[in-house]
Amino acid sequence: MSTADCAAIREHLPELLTGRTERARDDVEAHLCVCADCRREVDEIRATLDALREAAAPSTEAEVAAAVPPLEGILAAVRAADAAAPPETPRAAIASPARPTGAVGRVALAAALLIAAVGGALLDRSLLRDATDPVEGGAAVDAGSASAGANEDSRQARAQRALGGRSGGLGSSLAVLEALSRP
Amino acid sequence: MTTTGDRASREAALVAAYEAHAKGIAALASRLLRDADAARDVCQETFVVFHRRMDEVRDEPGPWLRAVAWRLSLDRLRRRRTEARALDAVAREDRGVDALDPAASAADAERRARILAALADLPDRQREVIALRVLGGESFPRLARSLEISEGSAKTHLRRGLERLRRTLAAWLPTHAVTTDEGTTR
Repeated sequence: MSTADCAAIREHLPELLTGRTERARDDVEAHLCVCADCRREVDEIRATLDALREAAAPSTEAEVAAAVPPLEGILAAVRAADAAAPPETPRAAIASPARPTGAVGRVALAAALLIAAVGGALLDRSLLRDATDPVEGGAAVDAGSASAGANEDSRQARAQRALGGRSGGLGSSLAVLEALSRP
Repeated sequence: MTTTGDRASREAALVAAYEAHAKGIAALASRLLRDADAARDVCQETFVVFHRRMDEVRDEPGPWLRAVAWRLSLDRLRRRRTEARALDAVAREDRGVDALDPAASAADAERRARILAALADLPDRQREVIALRVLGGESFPRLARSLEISEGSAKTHLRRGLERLRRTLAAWLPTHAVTTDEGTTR
């Protein structure tokens, strides 16, 4: 039996063995008839599944009844939560139910902040060079009309004031952008 | 701003969901936690989460509620596991023995705790897919929709999770069914 055959068959075993019926596709059945290694794989998966199902066997009726919380308690909890904060809108909610501050959310937030910070730092360097370097920034201004040059000088001065001696970071980038965007 | 009418309709939806699913959610939490207080807490939290996020639930809420309840139960199991590890470390220091040695105890309760702890320790998606599929008997289309992942991704999580469980539980499964990482059977 080829390794490729076994790999393809084993790919399907977890799905097959956790289904409501264990009736295998014909090709899987045929393979298992002749491949002892894959039959052993089936046994191992079954042993794991049996262990899990045994460990989480259904509780008795009495145990379940004891675990049902009273409706009044739930209503009191949601009213208290409503009083503290209004319900989330679909727009504010994120995809993963019940994990609004989970690992994925934290990673995404961290990634967004990192991109913003790196972008801001790069922007800073570019704007700082344009605003303060008399050779590169000045040459560009000289190429324009006199009024445009004066206007550009004024914008550069505002940018320099906004920088306030800082040369990096998101805050300084935003301040520079704000200064440059004013008429 | 939430109006009084909104609030009343949300509460009505909550009550309807509770009446239809509270017992099933309690049964699910009880299966994993074996503790009425803990299961009741999980059940209540599930409905509180539902009330907060019901705008996201477009279909019949059963599968969504079960997915949340499995997740909350598994989270609680994982926390319990972390606490048990801390207590175990203290106990080992006190007694000078390794209480985690499988040979030291073959009691059913211990075996059960190990198996559920191994499930709780899996990466989030793997343990959720295994709980929904193996213990909850959910179909792939339904569990994929509940977890907002593709069916292909759900099948991959199932396969990887089961592989990991087999390795973790090697000492607790029948010896004929144990294959080591090197591929030899023992």
